[in-house]
Amino acid sequence: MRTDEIVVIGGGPAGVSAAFTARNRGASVTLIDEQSAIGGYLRWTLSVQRGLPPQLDGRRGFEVAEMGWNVLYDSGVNVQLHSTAWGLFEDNVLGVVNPESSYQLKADKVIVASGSTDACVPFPGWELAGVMTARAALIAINVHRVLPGRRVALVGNGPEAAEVREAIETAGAEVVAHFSDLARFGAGGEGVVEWVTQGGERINIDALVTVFGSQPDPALPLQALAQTGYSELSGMHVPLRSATLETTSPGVYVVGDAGGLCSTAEASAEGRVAAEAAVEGDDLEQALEQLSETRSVERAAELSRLRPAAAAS
Amino acid sequence: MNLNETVSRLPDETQVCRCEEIRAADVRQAIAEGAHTINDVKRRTRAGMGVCQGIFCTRTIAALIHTTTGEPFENLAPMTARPPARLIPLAQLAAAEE
Repeated sequence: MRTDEIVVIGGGPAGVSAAFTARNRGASVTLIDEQSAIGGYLRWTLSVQRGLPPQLDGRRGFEVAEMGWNVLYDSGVNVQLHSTAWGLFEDNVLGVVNPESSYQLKADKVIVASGSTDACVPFPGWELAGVMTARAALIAINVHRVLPGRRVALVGNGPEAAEVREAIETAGAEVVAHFSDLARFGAGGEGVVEWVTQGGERINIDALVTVFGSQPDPALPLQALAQTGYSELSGMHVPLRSATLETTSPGVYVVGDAGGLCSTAEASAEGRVAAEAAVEGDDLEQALEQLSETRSVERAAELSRLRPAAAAS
Repeated sequence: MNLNETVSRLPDETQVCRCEEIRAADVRQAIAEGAHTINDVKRRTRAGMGVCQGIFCTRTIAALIHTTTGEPFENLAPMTARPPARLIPLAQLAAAEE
């Protein structure tokens, strides 16, 4: 069986920060990501990122992703792309597949930075082809340069809706309708979405983008039987974590959105804390201080409730 | 948008779990018959047993149970997480190294 000291799952801001920090402390580190490049959600967002180190701060998401990629490769982290960590078993053994091989990988410490998925809320017609979430639309346009439709409708609000709208219009398609909520809302069509309505007349479309926010994706720590608690801020259960972000499964850490929705700066700071703790580095106190500066009062209060019982005090 | 309000007025015939094509009516019936946890609903209806392993439907099922029974979300733990976490070809698993 392959082994490594530190295995990081996910190459978004939290995972890259964790891998880089652990590697700089002299640990041998493998980072696994199912995508074709590291960067996580930063790869498909044009939004400006704040609260990051000076060389990254104020840049757009995809630029931060590219710079993180270069830094990580130069650091000597073993980066495995197109690789899916599909299982987390006893004694921190991971099941990993990539297009060429399938193997088990045993780690002294696992740092899970598996991010989030888009939240889905059902409505009549949401199962039709041509109905997609915000990130599906942004990946299609910003990463693959593919238009999801010519006449697009949006449902949902907030900065992400504005970003999707801008991406669609910049790419040359039309946003023909924008609904703010799901009251009396429905879509229909023969196998593919052809129209939407909100109680009135039908509006003809060829794609519908839903913008309902994100939700943590902690599947691997849950497989490892990590205890959970309900996060009001994330709208679902998340793994309980110590102050240094270790779950109730020994040696399994969770950082970034997978542990509860957070900003890019907070995700990055969490990655650093978990890595310092995992390798017993000298800068844990400083990393914890930096992390606390990224957290809102509300978020800090919730996280102090979502601690494992032994560490609650 | 309020998820509880949205699921309360969800039409019976609307799908809640797209992977297994489970309708709101199926979930409501399971709850009426005593399935008051997410795992109970999963076992009775197959909701959450498909390709996405509950990523799409878990929050909806939790809200349907909560709005029907008043059970707090704190008590509505996620469905048991089983490998694989992603859809992967069986042939690849079968070819695994030792």
